[in-house]
Amino acid sequence: MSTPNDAGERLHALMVALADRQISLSDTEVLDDAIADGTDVRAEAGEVRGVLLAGLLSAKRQRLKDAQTAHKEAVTSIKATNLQLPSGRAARRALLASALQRRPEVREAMVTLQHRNFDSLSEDDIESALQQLHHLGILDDDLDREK
Amino acid sequence: MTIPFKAPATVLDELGVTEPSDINIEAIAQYCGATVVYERLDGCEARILGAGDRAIITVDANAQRARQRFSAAHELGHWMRDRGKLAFACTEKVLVREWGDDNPERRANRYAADLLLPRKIFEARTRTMPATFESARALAKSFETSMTSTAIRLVELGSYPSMIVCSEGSGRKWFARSPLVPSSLWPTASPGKRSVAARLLTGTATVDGPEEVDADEWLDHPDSSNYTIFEDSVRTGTGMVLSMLWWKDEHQILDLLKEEDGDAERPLSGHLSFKRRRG
Repeated sequence: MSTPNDAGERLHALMVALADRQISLSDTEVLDDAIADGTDVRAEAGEVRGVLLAGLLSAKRQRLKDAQTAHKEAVTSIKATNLQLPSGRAARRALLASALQRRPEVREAMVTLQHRNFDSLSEDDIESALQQLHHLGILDDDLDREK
Repeated sequence: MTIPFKAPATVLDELGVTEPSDINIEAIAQYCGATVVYERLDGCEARILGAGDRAIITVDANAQRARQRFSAAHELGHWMRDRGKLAFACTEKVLVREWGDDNPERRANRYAADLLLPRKIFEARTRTMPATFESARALAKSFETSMTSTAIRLVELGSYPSMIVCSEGSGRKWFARSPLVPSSLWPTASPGKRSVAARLLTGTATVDGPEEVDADEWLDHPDSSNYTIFEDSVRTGTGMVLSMLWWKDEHQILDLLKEEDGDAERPLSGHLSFKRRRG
């Protein structure tokens, strides 16, 4: 291989050669080299471990920040849901009941809900539950039936 | 896409939570696929509506902040554990009472406690803290949690042997004990007449912090008459009384452990400093 004329290219070639040498060395040889240079290997390892752990923690915390942002966006989207609901107390309750009853996977939960509070839910509770069911995409069939 | 069940400790680790102030319940729930919204609710404290991999948790906007956080975490517990069932609506009664039997509500309460009061972070702050409501209040302030859930956690993870008992006029509703308390020690079906709890239930006492009472007022064990314990009782908003029982003098526990193990010496919390027997 010819020697590059450009200083930058020569430096790059040198770095590559050094890296190749390091990679070809065994772990013991790398440690011996470091010790011979007067490096405190344990302290260096501790420092590297600390840097890696800090990087890991920072990446995890970024997930928490992203989730905070995602929460704000999701709330805005839910609040923007504006479904035209049937007018009248009985019709809305019937819509909620049919939406829940027609799904076999919710039978147990339905009993729980009815047993505890279904009768005691206010008109506002019913409306917000219907809006949320619509937002979750599970009220469309029931609305079509209503129509 | 189905979101797999994740234990609270796993979720907190994935989000790099190391301090009580990091426990942002809205962000944590969102990470798990559930959006928390606050609205005025009339029929319940909180509810969850879910489908597929998305859910909406609605929490009563008028509730206290600690209650809101616990309600949101409780509903998240339903979402993580009881997925596939579309709707739960949980009352205050459920959030306070259902710590006893193993059922979806208890499991959701457990999930909430593990999420909002994580063992690793909580234990580091409870060393040397006595099992009293004063301790529970201080911890509840740091963790923004309710006093009941924090007191239960303090009993379970604190460094002293203790119990928490919830009683009402008809008797004991539920109790939890520290792992330091031998399983042979059970609270009586109702608090003894001279206990603070009994006096609170009958309206003949006012609360004035922990009080030393005879152990047999609370414990269903033949040797209990030889010992005393500290009782700290408070009335709850739901007409019940919560009592934290604390063995400041651990001799009853040590004697019981000796009985069970023969004469083997067993270390306890390391806080034992004196011996006091009822005269």
